[in-house]
Amino acid sequence: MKLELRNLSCGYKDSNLILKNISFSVETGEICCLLGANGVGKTTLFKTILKLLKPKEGKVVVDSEDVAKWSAPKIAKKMAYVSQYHVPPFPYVVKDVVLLGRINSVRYFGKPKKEDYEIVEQAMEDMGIRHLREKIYTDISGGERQLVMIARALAQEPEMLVLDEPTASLDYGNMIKVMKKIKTLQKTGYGVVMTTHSPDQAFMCDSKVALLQKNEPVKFGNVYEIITEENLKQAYGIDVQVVEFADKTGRIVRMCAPML
Amino acid sequence: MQIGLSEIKNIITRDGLPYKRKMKILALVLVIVILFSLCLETIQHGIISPAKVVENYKLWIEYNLSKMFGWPLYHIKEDILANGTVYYDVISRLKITAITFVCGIMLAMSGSIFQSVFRNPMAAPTMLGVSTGVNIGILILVLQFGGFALNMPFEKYIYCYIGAAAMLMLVLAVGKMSSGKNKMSVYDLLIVGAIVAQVVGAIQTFFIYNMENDELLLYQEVSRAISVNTDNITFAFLGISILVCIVPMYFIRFSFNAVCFDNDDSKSLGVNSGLMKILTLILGTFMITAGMVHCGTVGMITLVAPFISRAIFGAEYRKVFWGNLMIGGILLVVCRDVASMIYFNAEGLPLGTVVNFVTVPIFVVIMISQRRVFE
Repeated sequence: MKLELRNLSCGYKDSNLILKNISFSVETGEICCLLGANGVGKTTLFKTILKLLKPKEGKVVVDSEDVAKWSAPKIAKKMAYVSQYHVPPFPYVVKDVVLLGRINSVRYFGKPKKEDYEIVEQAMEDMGIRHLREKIYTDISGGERQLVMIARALAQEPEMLVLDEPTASLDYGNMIKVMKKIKTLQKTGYGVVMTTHSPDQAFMCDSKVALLQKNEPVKFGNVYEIITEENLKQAYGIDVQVVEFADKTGRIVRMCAPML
Repeated sequence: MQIGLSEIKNIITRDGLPYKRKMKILALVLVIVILFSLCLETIQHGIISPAKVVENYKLWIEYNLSKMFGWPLYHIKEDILANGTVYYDVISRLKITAITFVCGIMLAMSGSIFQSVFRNPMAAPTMLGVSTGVNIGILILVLQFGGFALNMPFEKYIYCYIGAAAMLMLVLAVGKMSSGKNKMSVYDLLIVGAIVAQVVGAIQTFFIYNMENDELLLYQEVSRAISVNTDNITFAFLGISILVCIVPMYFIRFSFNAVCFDNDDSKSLGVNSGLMKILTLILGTFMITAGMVHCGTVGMITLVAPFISRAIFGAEYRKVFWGNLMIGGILLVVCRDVASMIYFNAEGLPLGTVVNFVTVPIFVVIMISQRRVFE
């Protein structure tokens, strides 16, 4: 599957476009990190990609078909969305939350069958959260919740995952755990589009990067081309040094070191 | 690691066990409550022996069959006469219990719909101004027919349902107007509902203020539904309500879970939850209307029954569905029993009063025991 944005402009009002003229493409088996300062419109862009908002100009194209003509179930079959805030008001058990990923295949009047349970269990297994299946979703930690939501997205059997800040408010350990899982997903053939505030995560995933800036064209390309000292200075207004070193195994690792 | 099919089968069976156990216990409680209720005398504070109750049911069935097929009625009538008032008590008790149970079911369902749609465990179905609509219906009925209103069940139902429907439409229309070009949100609807209900309520108060004493008493009697109407027309209305409301809810009981998550979330799952919310709110409103028309002001059940069922069965709507209905039915029947056992004004207490007395303590207990914050 190939997701393309063609000269896309998005925003909530016609008079006030948040993002203008964005073009890039992501394929399955790739990770694309969206970086940009707070309020630059990352979530707005996601909503537009998923047809939760109408594009003001341009279009979102999946496998050379315009997504604007697709129904919500059809989009849900191709792309699964994990939003930033997702706290149900009632004490849902983890396995039930993941099971809701099957709503799209079960449709309005059906109920989950054996195959659906199989997919759900497999999704929980893949995310390593089967030990949590009986726990109440609101009682588990933030990192675990994130994995549950990704498992729910996997239960949708999509080709592309759209993750809105999957590591926001996670501690260091949980952040690394989630990133590891995301990398594994990429290797198993999923496409991943995610927003993040940390350029280091883009280095970790060796991903494509779309750097969004206000009133500037989007910078899109390989992480090594886009995450440069100059670009970060321009996007965030801070001085950063990109350092490179070999880890214990001899692999070259790049990281950002802010100049304090 | 790949999970095998046999393991999945085991998981499904294992997961189902606690649910089945809880349902069995609940079913047992339900049977006990219903049997007890059937053995109660209608107004007096006494219990009729189960053997006597069964004997009278037999007579009732025989009598109705004979009437239907033209068999000789003579000896059955004689037996009924021999049983005296007990026969009429037993049969009217059966009808009252059935009506109460069905109303309890509908109230519980209505409450769970509103709480899910508004994503708030304190949301009440009366929030869209239905109770005001029902009361307006009764007010017009009393003003139009005076003393005859007490014996006009069909007209009463029609007026109440139309009153509630008109109120709902008014709220929806004002909600639509206030949201303008944007999509109507259920939260706007809530605010609009409160305002419209206030305005209509003020008009209603004006009329009540100007009523004569006997008219006022009549209005109170009709609106509190102190005496239950057990005519066939009541059963017809309740039957229609079940068909129109409970059956569709049964079929969407899994996908209905989507409304508990926010709109974007459920849309990205592939469900149009906006439409589902509006349609289920209309069904919920219809059900609370039915509950209020047939049993008076018994709104507390709508808060308490879903609360208890969530505490027992968890949040997933498919698992809560039957338990919630049973708990609603049980609660209302218990309240009815208490109401019938207390001798008050030769009539028994109004059901609404008992409901408030019985459910408020339950509500407080649940609130305290469920201090754990879900947010």
